[in-house]
Amino acid sequence: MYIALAFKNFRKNVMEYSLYLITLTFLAAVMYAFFSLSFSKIFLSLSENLIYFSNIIFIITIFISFIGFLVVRYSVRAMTERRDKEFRIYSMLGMSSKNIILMICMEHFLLNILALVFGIFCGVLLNAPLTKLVLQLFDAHKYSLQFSSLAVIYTSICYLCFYIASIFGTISVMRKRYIFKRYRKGEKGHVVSLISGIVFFFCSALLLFYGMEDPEERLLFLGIAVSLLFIGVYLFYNNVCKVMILSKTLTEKWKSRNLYFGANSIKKFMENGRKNAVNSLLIMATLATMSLAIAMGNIYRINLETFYPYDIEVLFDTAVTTESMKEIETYVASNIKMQDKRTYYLYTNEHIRGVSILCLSDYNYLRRQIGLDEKTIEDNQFIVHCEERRYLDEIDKNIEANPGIQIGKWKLKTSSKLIFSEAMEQAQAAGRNGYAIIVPDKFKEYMNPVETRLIITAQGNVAPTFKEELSKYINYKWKSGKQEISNNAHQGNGSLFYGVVVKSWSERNSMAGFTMIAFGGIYFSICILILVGSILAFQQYLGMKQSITDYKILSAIGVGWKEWKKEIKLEILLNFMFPAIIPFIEITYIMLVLQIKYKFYFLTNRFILLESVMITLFIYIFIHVCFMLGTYNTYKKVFVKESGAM
Amino acid sequence: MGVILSAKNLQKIYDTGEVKVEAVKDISLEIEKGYFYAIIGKSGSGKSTLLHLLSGFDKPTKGTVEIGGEDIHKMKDTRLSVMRREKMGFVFQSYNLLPEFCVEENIRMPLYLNHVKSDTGYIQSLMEKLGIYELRLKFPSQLSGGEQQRVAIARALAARPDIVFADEPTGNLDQQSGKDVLGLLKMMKEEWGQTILLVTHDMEIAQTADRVIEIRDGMVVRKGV
Repeated sequence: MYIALAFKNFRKNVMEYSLYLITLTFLAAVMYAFFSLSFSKIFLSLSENLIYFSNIIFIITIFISFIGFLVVRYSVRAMTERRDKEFRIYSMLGMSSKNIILMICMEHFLLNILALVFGIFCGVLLNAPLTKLVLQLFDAHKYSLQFSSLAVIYTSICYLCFYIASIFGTISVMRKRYIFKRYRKGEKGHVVSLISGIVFFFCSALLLFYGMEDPEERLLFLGIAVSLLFIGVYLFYNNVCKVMILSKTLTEKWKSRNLYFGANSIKKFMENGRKNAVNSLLIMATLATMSLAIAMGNIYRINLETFYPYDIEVLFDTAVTTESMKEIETYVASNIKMQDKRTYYLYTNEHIRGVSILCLSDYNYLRRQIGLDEKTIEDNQFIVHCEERRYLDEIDKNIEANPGIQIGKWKLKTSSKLIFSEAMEQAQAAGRNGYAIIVPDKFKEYMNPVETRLIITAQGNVAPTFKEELSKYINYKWKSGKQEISNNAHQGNGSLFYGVVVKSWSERNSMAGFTMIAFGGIYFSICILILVGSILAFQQYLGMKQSITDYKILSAIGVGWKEWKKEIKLEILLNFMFPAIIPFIEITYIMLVLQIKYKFYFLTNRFILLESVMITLFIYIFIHVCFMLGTYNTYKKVFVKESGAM
Repeated sequence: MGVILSAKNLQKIYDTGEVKVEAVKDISLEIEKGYFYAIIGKSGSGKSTLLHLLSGFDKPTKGTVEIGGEDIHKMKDTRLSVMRREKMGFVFQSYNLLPEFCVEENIRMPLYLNHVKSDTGYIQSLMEKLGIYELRLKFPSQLSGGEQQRVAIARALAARPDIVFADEPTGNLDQQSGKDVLGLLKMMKEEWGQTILLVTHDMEIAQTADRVIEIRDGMVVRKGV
């Protein structure tokens, strides 16, 4: 009996359910597409680290499901309020509350099943361009359309969560009593809260701009600034409308301007302070996540070249003889087409502790490899190369205080003009600890070689699998019988530390990191954007019953449908766009500050962060304009049907 | 005949925060089985509130309402729902039919909800007596006000309830239709012995009842025949 009733009600209310259905379908499609990608063998074969991608997607999906509960609750509340009369008739006829809830749950079950099936179908279609996009990032082009049963299972589990949430939401809404509060005029608390919110904005802005100078305290100030910002947004939106109501000048203005139109919409909108505040916070979190995800992805792509500039690097934390290194060179030459190679050493000096020293010729070789100009210095000079910003300022100060070093009987000097900071993957190839000293070659004999490096430039691509092959060769074949390794053990080191870096392998696995961060962030943000759009749409529906009543009364005294449509448009526009104003401004400001403060790290003249925020705002506006138009059309159709408006 | 419904010291106060409205003030009454009662009063006198309290749609601030010896306001929702399906019928001013179901389905709805196989002969007889048998496959939107109210009456009687509550059933009807509906209610009472409790502001309608209860400012001022 209840199944038949639920089915009949579902068909009757399909237009009102349409937005809810589209939201769930889109969510299912996006979830399936990302799950499918994360389980795809073609995708996982691109890099070893991508195995973690599915974990990240699943964790993000749990968050989305949790936030999706809000949407379900709003939709259940909106729909049950709209059908209040129908449920009262059922009660009157003797249907218990339990059975009414059961009937609504069945309706939601039908909805969820439909959305899941359509969603998975759409997800299969969406997965195709998504996978192709990711494969292009990895310069891989082999692709075939795949269907993932595991992705279907995971997506279905998330849907089970939505369905369970709808049951709880239904029970909660059906049992809840609505308490209508009146705003007491003259409450000074609202004014104080509003001013506090504005003050928090300014403090946040100042902290962002001036508090990021010290690298040690940067994160702390960022955290405080963001917290102040969120609190400020909440206080602002929760109180600005109430203060406007309290303001005599404004209330008189909107009352007198037009007795009903405009005044009514604005009044209704002003009474939704808390809703606007919560919506605004959600929008802020979404915009921030998406902007950062897009920005990080772009920055990472640009900086990738500088992280792995050399085709093959072999590193030893001891001085290996040139003869031993030649064996490795021969092995590499027998496996790949070698264009160029160089073995060199990092030195230390008794007077300069804890700093790597490079010879000028080796330094210039590294600069040539990555397209930089070569440097020349006098015999009594030295260069400082430092890629880490946090050390650069201190080095500058130390050089001012004491610009000389001692090697043997010679004193070498430098100046701020001989400090260079181009990205040379300095962490390993050109020194340790973030900086190195470069001295003329003639001082080699006065220094102790402590580490060995081999840089190889290949003709053509090197297969990522060569990293493992070379590591195995060094560890199982090359190492045996080497005196320098025995020496290392004798000195108590126990074992030889070595490293093999193959650019193609590193790029792919770093791309995995980029993919996980960027795509994970975008996935999360788009889902939240959709959920926010749904919440705003259902908030609009909640007010429909009263609107219809008002319209019926006013149409009887001569107010036309054309004027009423303007009223509806104004309401929807306010509901959707007002909560987004402050987040738009704040996110743009934050990204602008970060662009100015951190441009050093981006290695490009492009305004990467501002580009990211523009893309984010465009996506936000596109999705929400779609929701606005969908809400307006559905609202209008239902309104016309129920009110008899022409 | 026996008492079918008993109300003792009923009071209902609506508290809106700034203002308290005492819609019903200390009403006690007994409804005997098989009679047609009219509760009459002016607009705002509390008659509809009283009906809602007696039928279990609203909870009193004080007092009890017993039907068949059970206090309906102390019942759990499930038990009260069963009582509504089996012992009560309702007719409202605005008909309250389910628009997506046809006439026959609307009438049989209480029986569907009670998982009871409907007595086809009885339902058909009911529809014929109310003059809506030919309309059984039509939908509420295709019927006139009078026809819809007849359907509502048929639905109220479908489960053969002990008591029928009618809140201004003729309020939305023209005079002739209103008279017809009243006549039908009386006829049903005569035929099947239901107790009818009807709320109205119209003295003419009230005078067709067996017993009249007059309400003024939330209190019973007259109980008469």
